[in-house]
Amino acid sequence: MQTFEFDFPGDRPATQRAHVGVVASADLEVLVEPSDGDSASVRIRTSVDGFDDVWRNVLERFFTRYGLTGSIEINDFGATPGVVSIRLLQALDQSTHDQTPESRA
Amino acid sequence: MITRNGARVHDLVRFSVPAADDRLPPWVLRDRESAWGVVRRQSARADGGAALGLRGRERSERVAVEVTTSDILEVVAPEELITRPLSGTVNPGLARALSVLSSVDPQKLGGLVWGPTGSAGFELATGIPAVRETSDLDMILRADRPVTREVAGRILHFLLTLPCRVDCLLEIGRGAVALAEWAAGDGGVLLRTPSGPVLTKNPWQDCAS
Repeated sequence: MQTFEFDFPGDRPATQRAHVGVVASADLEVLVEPSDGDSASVRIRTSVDGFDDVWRNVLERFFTRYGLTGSIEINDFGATPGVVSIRLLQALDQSTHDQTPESRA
Repeated sequence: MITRNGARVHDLVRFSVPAADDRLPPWVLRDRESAWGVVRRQSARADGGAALGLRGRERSERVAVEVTTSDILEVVAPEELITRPLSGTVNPGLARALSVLSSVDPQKLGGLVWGPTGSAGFELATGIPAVRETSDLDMILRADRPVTREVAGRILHFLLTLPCRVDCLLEIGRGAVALAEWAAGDGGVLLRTPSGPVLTKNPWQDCAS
């Protein structure tokens, strides 16, 4: 078990809470809460040690591209970078839209 | 997705070690002459071999190795393991959950075929201890035909009554979704496919294309 934290600047605040993903092998859950400020404060807890650089790269790419800001908690159970990216996109979608997911295309 | 020798994702494959010995880390769980791996989802190989995931005792001890058809000695599917008891286990909750599932009314599982995977599947297939005190029970349900979210919710509700945390995937031909995620809402779900994960609202529709 390893925990680390990153901060990324951004300009697209989360407007509502989001919870995506599942607690399961090779998966992860992402929790987003709106917060003041112009950065994303990301806290990761992972069951698999030794992938700091991979996490940094995946998160940097995501937050640079989408600029999401807020308080973000990630609980990882050995997900691949591809799964992490999709969960982050789901979290972005949920946390920056005020409609319910089914009301959108 | 099936390799030429008939192995599918999650199947346990025993293969001859000398063929791959120089590629195996020392921590890989093995017998003298053979080792066991699990067929990976990305295992499409034209030559009929298989890409396998191998495990050691620690969660971080995982390695991928490719084996050819001639290296393969035995293939066991998860659903072939359901009548085998877990003996001498360090995780009595998981053993009891397996025992309940082995004689369960099939309707509790939506009439779907099930099988243990992960550490429990590995231990049942190989006899090599892999389950830990903290292990969840990983399992699959074969869901070639669509399962409604309502049925998924009922199955999930039943699994929550077992004396062990259960991590269940719906295997739907060309991919898999987490039962809990399919049951949970009405938005997109993550479909794991051989070429990587994708988001979809209807995994079965995508499979039929």
